[in-house]
Amino acid sequence: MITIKNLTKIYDKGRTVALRNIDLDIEDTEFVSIMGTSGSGKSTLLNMIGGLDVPNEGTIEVMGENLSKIKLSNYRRETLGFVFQLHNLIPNLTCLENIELPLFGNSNSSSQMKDKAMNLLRAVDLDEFANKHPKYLSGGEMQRVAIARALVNNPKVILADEPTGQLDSENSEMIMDLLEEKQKETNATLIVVTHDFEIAKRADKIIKIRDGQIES
Amino acid sequence: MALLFFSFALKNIFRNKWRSTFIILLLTIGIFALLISVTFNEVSENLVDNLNESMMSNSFGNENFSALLENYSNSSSAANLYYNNSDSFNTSSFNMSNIEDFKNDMTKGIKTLSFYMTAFLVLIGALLMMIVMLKAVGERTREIGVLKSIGWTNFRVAALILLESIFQLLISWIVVIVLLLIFYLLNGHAMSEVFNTFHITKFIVERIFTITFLTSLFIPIIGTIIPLLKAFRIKPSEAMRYE
Repeated sequence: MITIKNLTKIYDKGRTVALRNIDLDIEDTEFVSIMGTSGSGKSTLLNMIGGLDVPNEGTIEVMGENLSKIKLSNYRRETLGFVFQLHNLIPNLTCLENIELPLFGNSNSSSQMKDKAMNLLRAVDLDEFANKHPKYLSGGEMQRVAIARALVNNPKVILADEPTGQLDSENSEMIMDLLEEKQKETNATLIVVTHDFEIAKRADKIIKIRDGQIES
Repeated sequence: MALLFFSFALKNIFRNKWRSTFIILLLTIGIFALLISVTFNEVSENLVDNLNESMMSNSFGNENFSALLENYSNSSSAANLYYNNSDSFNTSSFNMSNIEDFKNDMTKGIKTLSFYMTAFLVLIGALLMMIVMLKAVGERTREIGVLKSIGWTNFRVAALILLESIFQLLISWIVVIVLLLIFYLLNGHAMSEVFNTFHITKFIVERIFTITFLTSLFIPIIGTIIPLLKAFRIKPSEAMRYE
């Protein structure tokens, strides 16, 4: 369960309030979408939950652990899987190597790492691209590799920041189907940030954010 | 896993950082060549000075030269002319020593200037390497953000990037040494002659290698560490927005 209490984030030395006194509870295995216009604070909220940024005030607890009191790199590696809008694959590494990246730091041997990454590439139907670099893939295929990378550590929470933002409707549908399928398979909590209502309505719960505050 | 880590570092150099590796290689060769040329110049000047000095000091005591003079005194009027003018020679020897002092001062001044110029050029070369590294690592801020967002610790990111930088510098060094070996194999005999003639000792060679090694290793590593520290201070979310 994710519990957020009185979360506030201020940028530019107090000039911009990105989030204001956010209180939110997200159940385990729930699929939640966060909607809002550009600059409403939805990505900032996701970054806070993902430990990519720290709040000025308030607390975030993920499965009983207060994020301000744990080592964030371990939390990001062991608990989270992050999917970004711009896939953020490392261009100099092959698809397989990109998927292996989060496994560094775990007690896996090289062959175990390769097997795990390969299984996930098969799961997203891209095993033939294992040794190809991301530049040879289409936008949808790159996003599928990014999803495989996010899932490689069997995360308990999957965070996706506008995962379909750069894709056409057909690819968007496919990516969301894949994310939902993997969430159900792994019983993970899925939080998707989007401004597209078609994507948002697939979720169990829709949270609307406006000017840094939860609307509904 | 360590092997995979090493292979990632090496792959990154050959796929992405070969341009900066090439620039670093050229700068390393430049520093090395500059130090060699200055050292050879210095050694050859010392050798010429020593020869001049020994010729001057031995000009009237040297057996061969005395024998030569004797021949001249016996066979021609040249020696008489010389002995007759010995007073005037002694008078001019005072002026000669003044000129010698002036020449020595000039040589010393030029040598000092040359030393500082060389040090300056070596430093410029090393600073260029540092800038190349600064730029290469600075450009990877976004990548550092991505690695941190998927759970890499600062230590692990630093290990990868420092490893890549060390590999780049090592590649430059290996190429320099291979080039020297090839040159030695092709011109080994001639080089030995040069080394003997110019009294190039092991110490001088070691000095050249040490200065090149230190300047082309430590200063570029500083150029790697500075942007790394900067990237570590910023949060992953900010680093990923970096263009």
